[in-house]
Amino acid sequence: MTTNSNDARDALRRLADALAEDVLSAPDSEILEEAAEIHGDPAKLAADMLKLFEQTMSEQGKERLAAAREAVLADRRQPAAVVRLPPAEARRRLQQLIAADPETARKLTVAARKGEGLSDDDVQSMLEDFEELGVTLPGDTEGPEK
Amino acid sequence: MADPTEPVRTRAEIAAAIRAFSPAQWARLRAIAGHYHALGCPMEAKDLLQEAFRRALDERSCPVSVDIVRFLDLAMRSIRDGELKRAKRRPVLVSPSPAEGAPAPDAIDPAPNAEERLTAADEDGARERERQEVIGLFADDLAAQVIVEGMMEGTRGEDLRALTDLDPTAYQSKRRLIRRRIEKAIQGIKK
Repeated sequence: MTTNSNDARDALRRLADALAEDVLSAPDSEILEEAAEIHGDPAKLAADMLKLFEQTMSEQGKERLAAAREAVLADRRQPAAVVRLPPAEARRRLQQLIAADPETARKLTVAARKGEGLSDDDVQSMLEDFEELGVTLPGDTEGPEK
Repeated sequence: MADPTEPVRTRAEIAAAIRAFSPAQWARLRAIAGHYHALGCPMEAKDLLQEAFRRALDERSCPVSVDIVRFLDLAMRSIRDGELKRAKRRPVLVSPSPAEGAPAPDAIDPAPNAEERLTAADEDGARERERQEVIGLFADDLAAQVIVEGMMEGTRGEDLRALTDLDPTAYQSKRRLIRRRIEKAIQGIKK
């Protein structure tokens, strides 16, 4: 028989496990009868338990939503991945974009429209501006080729 | 042993199965949570149930062949065991003497101080009293008392019945009496 406190804790745990097994194997009628004696109407007990479950689901849903929101914010805080094209290709793409979107191109300087006197960094910067404005070439799926 | 190739239920399937529980299934779950709480688990029955729902939906795999009430029972058991282990370990946060001017980080001290030892002794004493009280519920029924003590020892099935002179029917009836008496005693304590 049990003799010390840890044994007492384990003894109670084993008793609870054995009783749980009995509850699982008992017929429905017995379980409902016992529930009625202890908790009152079993239908009300079932409704209360379902409410507890739905409350858990709702709390979980809110936690998931908060986590998703946080992930989006964290993503926004990350600097945008800038893809640097080879200079010649970047200039070719810039000319194509200007040709494809004259409306936006009109806002640029003449030099910029012709791509003359622009450094490679200027070209890259303008490509990024186009991308931010959502100006793409036919065949682009997510902006410039990455 | 679980079959690792067996398909598992999705989160939506588990939720749908729980929503479709009959009153008897809900009553079983509530009774089991009550037993775990009353017989040592520091979490309240409702908290235990909610945590089991959470883990069942998001952490544990439920093979399609496993009954959902049993699945939730196993989740509650696992939570209860974790809580009991934590209670046994009782680590304590202490602040060691910092080096001059330096802030001291918190550290885990495995050796409890005098106050903590007293608290632990109180808890241990409480568990032992609970054990004695449960056995005392059957002071008028020797066969029931033998079965309860056998359950506490971990004796099962036919070995447990063999401790008594009861035939299978009388034995089942005695186990039912044990369960009801303990459940009523639990309710008595709560009121």
